[in-house]
Amino acid sequence: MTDEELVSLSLQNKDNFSILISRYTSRLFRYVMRISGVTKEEAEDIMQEVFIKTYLNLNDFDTTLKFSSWIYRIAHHQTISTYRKRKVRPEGNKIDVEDSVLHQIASDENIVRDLDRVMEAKIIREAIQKLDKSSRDILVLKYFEEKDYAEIADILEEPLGTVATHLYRAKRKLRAIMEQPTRSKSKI
Amino acid sequence: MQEETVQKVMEAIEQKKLSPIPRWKFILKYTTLWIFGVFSILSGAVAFSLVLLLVLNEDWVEYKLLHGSFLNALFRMFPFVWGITFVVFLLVAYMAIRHTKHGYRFRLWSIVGVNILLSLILGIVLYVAGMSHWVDSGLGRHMPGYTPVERLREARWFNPEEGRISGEVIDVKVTENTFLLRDLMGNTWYVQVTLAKENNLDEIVVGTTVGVVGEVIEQGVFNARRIKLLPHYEQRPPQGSLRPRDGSGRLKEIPQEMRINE
Repeated sequence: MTDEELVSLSLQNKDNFSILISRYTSRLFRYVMRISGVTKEEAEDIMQEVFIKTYLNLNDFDTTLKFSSWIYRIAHHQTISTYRKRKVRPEGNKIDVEDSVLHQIASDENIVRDLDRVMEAKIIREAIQKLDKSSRDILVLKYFEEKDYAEIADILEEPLGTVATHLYRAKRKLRAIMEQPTRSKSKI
Repeated sequence: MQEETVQKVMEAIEQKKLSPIPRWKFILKYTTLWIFGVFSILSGAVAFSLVLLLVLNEDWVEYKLLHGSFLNALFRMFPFVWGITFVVFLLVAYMAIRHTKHGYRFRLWSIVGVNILLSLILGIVLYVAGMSHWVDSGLGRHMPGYTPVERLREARWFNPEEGRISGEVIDVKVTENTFLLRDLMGNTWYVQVTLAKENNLDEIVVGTTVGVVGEVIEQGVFNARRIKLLPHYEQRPPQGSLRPRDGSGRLKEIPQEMRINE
């Protein structure tokens, strides 16, 4: 059963909504942790708020969107809202992702080819954590949540062209940060 | 964690007796945003039509006479308030459209660009259709402190110390080449047109508004060297003329002895 069908069924019977919650709990939890510096417990609180808001706004679900884009959008807004209220600093939030994803970023961006792959993953992880919030958010959506440009546009509520521009800039910033330790290494 | 989250959320929905917000509320919200956006575009169009009204009915040719320099004239004559109002309505229209369901898909420049284009086109249509005159007059009648364009123009022309007066023609004496004029303050001027070189003297009839350049002879008496018609959109039907009319109402030829010196 598709997410969109479950939305219709949830509007008829709220118990069907539990299936949607089950489907998205893990994914959204990882997403919230990746884009914020909240604790596990705070992330769980955010998740509950996200699902309650999703339920309340089911009639506002735009069927021209993917349901995943819509619920990610709600999660994004709720995380930012909580983040602003609690003034959690973005530095230090852990990018808990497999090294393969990080290698994918490096390969995609043609950066740091002369390092061994362990160092590469470590450098990329540290570099991503140093990025500003909006750059990190868009890279998380693209590489870690594996969203395409259209989905990212729907999640962040930005025009497609703007998403492409922001992603390009985020990659450039990441490259610039990553090339700093490379230069110091080469001096050694 | 998954089961725990499901349980907590479903319990919250049950305990707080939550239910999805009705669809009609969302429809109302987005419809209101669109109406607001369209209203803002139309308001911007009205503001632009008033900019056109004021700019196209200014005495740019006589800027030096009235204001001394072009920059001074630009500063005094350009309708900055309506220009700013136009920009404000553009921004409001952009914000409204941006918050509609699919508004985020359009870039800033495309929304603003289309808004500007629509407001400009509609503004021109409104101006040509005479709506800006109607709005201007209505504001003059009902809004305290607002001066309609024709009054503004009349006021700019009126400066007896610098040899300019303006007002409404209230009487015409063809044989004496004079006419009576009532200025904005209600004072009456006896204007001699002997030296006037304006070519449209035939159009100086009772009810027209004119600007006159010349000299003050004495209190309430003015000698005109040049006369300019100032359009009055609520002009009463003309009741007289400097040029005599025959029995059928057609203008007579001016006798040589009565003609204005060239």
